[in-house]
Amino acid sequence: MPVIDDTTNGHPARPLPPWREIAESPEFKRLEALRRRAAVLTLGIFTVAVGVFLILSGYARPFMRKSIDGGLTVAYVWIFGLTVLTWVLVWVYLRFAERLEAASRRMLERGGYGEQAR
Amino acid sequence: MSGVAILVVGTAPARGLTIAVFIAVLMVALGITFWAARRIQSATDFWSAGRGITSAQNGIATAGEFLSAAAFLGVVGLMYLSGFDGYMTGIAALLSFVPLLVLLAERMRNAGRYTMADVLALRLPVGRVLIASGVSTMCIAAFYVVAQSVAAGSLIEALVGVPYWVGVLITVAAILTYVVLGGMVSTTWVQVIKAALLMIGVATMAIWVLAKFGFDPIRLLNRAAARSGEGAAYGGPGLVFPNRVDEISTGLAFVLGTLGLPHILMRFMTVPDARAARRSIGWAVGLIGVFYVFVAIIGLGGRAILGPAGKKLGGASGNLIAPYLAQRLGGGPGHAGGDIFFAAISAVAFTTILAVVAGVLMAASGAAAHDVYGTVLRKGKATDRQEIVAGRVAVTAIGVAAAILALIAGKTFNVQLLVGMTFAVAASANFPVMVLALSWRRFNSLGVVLGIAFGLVSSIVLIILSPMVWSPKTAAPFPLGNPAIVSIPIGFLGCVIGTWLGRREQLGIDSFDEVRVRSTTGLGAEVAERRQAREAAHPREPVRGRSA
Repeated sequence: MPVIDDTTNGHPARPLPPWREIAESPEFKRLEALRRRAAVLTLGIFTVAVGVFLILSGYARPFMRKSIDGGLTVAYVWIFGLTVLTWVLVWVYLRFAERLEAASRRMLERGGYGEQAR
Repeated sequence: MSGVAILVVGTAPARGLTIAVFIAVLMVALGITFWAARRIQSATDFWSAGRGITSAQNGIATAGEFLSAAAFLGVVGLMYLSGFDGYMTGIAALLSFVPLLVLLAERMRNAGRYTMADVLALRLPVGRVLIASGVSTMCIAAFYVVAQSVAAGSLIEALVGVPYWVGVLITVAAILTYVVLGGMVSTTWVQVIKAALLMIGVATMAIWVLAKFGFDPIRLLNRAAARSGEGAAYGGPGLVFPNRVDEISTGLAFVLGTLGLPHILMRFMTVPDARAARRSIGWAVGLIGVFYVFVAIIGLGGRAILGPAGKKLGGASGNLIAPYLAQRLGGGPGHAGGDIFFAAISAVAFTTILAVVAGVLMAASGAAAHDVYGTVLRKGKATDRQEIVAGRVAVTAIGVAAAILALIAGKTFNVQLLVGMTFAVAASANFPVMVLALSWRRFNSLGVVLGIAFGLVSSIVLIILSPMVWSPKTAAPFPLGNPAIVSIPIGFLGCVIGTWLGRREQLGIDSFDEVRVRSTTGLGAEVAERRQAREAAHPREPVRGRSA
């Protein structure tokens, strides 16, 4: 358990949190890894969808111009799909981040840093 | 040719009405400013609106920051002229919110104080890092403000009939008044009001256009393609960017450049905590997405309804297609409905320019006054009052400089060139540095300096060598109009080389744990109520880092 320097008790000055100690705790590492996995997954889906779109826009122009229904082309369908994908990814990530934040607050409170977190 | 178009437009319809609406917009902005000015007591109030902005307000303001005159008038104009490619340059800004949310927004809020440089200063010795990021912030701000001032000057000339230089001076004077007096509080509120007006304006226009086609988007698309003279090519990529790599490079600049735009990053400092920073992105993404659906309809409607004849009204870059489409929808020139709608859409565009420039000026003044003056020159000993004064002086200086540059550049200067430059510089100079500062343990201050220097110099030099500047275009030594695909890797390369050269520096490594913990948990983040207590205890965290 980390010990907090309490010599400034009652003062506005608070001891700085022991960054390294927290950073090396297994629980923090678990949260950090969780967050990294979510970020990699989100960015991976995003990069593929946008990257393939950009590459096809450059190198497969006849395909992008192909009509699906009259003037509605593959390119327009794809770009509106990207809009919807952005909405979905942001919404899912926001929900995930709320849960992660609750978990990290619990971790800080268990370690006795809860006061400083708020 | 464009001179003729502007002359034709110079005898604009409903001049009196348009002028009255413009003045009303200025008065409302001024009223907000006087209300806001009385609330500014500290540096946090000035640059971060006291961290008291709610997530909804900040989200709307962030959307407002994005939806510049280029996003509305420019994209509608480009869609009119070249179809799908024009739309792509607009919607890419929406896509950029995914990496912005996942990589930067909350972590910025948890680690920073006023500006993006605070995140760098948290773990690195402040001097050269802040100067480097200050230089790139000012360059980006200068390009952006000049571009917007040129746009404002020619818009006012075309719509109201006063000469270009008068338009530029009115715009810059108005913006300076409300930024200098009202700081981030009035900037945010003007941005919120502008975003609301813009959304109402585009929604009305889009629904009106759709109604003309029986609410059948396929009929609208068919008609637009049929009247474009380009056939199937109008519905696909290639008309704006004949060069394949250029299409990809421009897309990259817009998707990644956002992550380095100082005025966007700064917005996340105005909210109370990381949760509000995230939620404001939710708001912004919702609004901007809906906005671009409307803009698609308006852009296609411009082509479908105005037809080839619209080319003369829209001007060389198509910028005036939107107000003239509004006029046609309202019943045409001379009809009350047409005149009123024309004036209303023009006023929305004008408000948009005012608001966007204000946001950019706030970011530049933060870099100049807080980072360079307060932290580097005065070593953190400047009082809040002195920092605010320095901020106001900096805003005025940048505004005046931009006005002079806009007058020298003249209305024929290519605005799109400057906007593309802004995104390319932001993506190449700031984006690599921000990402590495939050994720690479060994990253050090020389890495920051070289990363910014490589990204800044390579993007600017490549733009100067590009077909955007050379005439004839084929004589340009560098083939791409937007250099992002080359200059972003060069920026990262600079970061790596600098970090390797300065590898004996220990500070960044020691403080990396702090950045990790702070950015993941929010521990130690600046919160409105706790601000004063924290500042009393630890006046300048970056300086503490140096003595470690």
